[in-house]
Amino acid sequence: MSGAFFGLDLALRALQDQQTVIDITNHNVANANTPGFSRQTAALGTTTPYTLPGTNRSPQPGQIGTGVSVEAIQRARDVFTDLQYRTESSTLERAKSLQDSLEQVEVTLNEPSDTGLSAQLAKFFPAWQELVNNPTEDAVRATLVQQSATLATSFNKTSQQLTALQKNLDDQVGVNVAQINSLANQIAAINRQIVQVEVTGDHANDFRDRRDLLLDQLSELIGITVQDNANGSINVSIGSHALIQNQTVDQLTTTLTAPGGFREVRFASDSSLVSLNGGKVQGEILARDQYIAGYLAKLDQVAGDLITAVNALHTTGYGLDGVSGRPFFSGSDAATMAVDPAIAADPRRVAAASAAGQPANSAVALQIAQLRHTLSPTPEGAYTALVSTLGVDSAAVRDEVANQTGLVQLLDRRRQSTSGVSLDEEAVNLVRFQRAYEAAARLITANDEMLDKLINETGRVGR
Amino acid sequence: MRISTRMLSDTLINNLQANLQRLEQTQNELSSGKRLRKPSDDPAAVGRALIYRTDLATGNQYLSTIQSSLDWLNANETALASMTENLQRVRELAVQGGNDTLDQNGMADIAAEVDQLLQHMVSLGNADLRGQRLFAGLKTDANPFTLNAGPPTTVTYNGDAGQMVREIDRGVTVTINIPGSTFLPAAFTALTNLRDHLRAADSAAVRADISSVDAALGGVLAARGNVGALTNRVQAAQDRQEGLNAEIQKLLSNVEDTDFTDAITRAAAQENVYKAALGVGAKAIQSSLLDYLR
Repeated sequence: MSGAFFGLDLALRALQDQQTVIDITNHNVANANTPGFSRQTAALGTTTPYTLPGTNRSPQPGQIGTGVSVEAIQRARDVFTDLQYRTESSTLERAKSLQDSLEQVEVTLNEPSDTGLSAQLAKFFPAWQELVNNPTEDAVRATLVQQSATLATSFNKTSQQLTALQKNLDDQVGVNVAQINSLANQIAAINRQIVQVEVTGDHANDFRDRRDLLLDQLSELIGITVQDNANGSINVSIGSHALIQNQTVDQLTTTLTAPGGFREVRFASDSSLVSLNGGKVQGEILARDQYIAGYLAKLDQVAGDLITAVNALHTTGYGLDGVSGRPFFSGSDAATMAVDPAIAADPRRVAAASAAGQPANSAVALQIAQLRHTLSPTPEGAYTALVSTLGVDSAAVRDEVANQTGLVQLLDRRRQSTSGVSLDEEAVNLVRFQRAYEAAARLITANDEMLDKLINETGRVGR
Repeated sequence: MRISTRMLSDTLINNLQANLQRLEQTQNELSSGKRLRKPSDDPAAVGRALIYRTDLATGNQYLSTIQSSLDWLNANETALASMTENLQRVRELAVQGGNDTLDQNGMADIAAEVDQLLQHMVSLGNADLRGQRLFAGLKTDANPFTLNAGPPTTVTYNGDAGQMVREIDRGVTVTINIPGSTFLPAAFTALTNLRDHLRAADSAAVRADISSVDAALGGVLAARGNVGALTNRVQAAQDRQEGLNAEIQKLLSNVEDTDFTDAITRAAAQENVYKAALGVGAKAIQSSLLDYLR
């Protein structure tokens, strides 16, 4: 036989535990929209059963149950999907940041249009042809000089804008490195809190959620690998170099490749170069050092080839003033290209003639006009190739972003499927636990009435 | 798969966003009339469009060169036609002057007219188009022929033998000028001689001059023939270039202009999908078990 107060104790524990479970449901509902929150569940278990003592054997057929207890509060989390999510999200952010940059380059080049460099190049050679037809007309010469100046300005502007874009990306690298350091410090701090909680055997669910969210954010900036430690803390590495070890952080820092150059990302401890594998920072550095630098080099090539070829012919010609040996363009690349000041000051100095004293001689102008198809590659062809390369690069990155977005969304759905709060589910749980709570309260009433009977109404025979 | 409450709204937002992006692209195609906005829209097509645009600009320039060459050749033809008339009149006068029936006064009258014609011939030799002398070689800024009254009367040439070369098609060049020194001095000499023989009333010499006038006429006619042939060639290039430009324009339009039938159909379909997604999504995210619990 169990003791008289046994049932009262059991019912009390049931009441308390159902209340705990309802509290967990409250917590889940309250955080239904909290980023990074994993829904929590109570692991309910029976308490140790009780075998009633007897002289020979138990006077009862078996052990008697002693009720319920909340053994642990666990969070629903699929750790393997977390790993996949972070790897793919690093790749996505790299592609996204590249896409941003390349779209800006596309806006800068503004092709196809009636105002882009291609249109200016297309007007440059006709202006020379017009000079071939009318070598003595001042208006035609002025138009040629004007058109050439516009072309040079287009080259200058495009070059400046691409350089500004590189500089901008470089600044973003600096900002993001600071952000990485801040996230790393927060993760290290949470590591400490988790270790403190879990050393007592509890689960630090909400701290772990917060740390997972920070890891998500960190992996958007830079590709990382995460390793769990036995005490609940984690280590984070970039490539093979540790960024966070338990509670210590090896900060990142940036150094310039050269005075006035671009930023490189290094570890503060040993100044070793950070090996980038995914993340926004890698996208920014790729755009800066490979894509945009490549376009700039091609643009300089187009401008430089044109300047060299036009000047080589122009210096052999004679202006209307009979002077030979003048260059037409000054400068050597897209950034420095300009119509030579002497020519700009007086268009009659444009050297259209192959001999002095022949005003209608436009043999040199014809040779320059024919550069359109005698140069190899032609300036327009080389520039079109640059635009096509940009188009192909940008389209490839756009497709990568689309594919990768799909993949990351799928993984996020998988995480959500495990960790996300379902309000329907919580509503059902609430009903379930509320009923159990009510029933436990009724148990107390029943026990109370039994005790009342025993204490107040027993032993009154014959009164 | 277990569906959490947020998954519904996340999925709805993602899909609405994707629908809107497609719709925006199509509407932009429709409102701008252009299929290509940036190189990545269709890199190969953008490359072709740029090449067609360049080809079109080149073609237009050839057309402009052709037109200015034709203007020049027409001016040449006009001047040469006047020279022909002039020399034909001279020939008539030479035949008349070679007739033994004329007295000295009659010969002198004819000589006076030939002298006028000689001066006219020199001014025709100095003819210009917008200030550019037609027959001066490349020294087009000054009159190529100067008449020195003499005696003896001479005509000096101050021009040169320079050639005006024009490119009327890729790699195709034509020389559009005839330096006056190649055919006019013979005419001036013939006219001067004829006038002097008429003044001297030497009818036998006048008759002999007819053949040199004929030769001079032949020289002018040969020049006219050259100009005519050249005009035909340049006009043929013009026809070809105009046809080519129309063709390139069509290709360019095919590459970069919106196909309206296709785009309107797409826009309608995309709008329907978007509206359906809105309708279904709005209902799905509103309902919950809580609506039905008492």
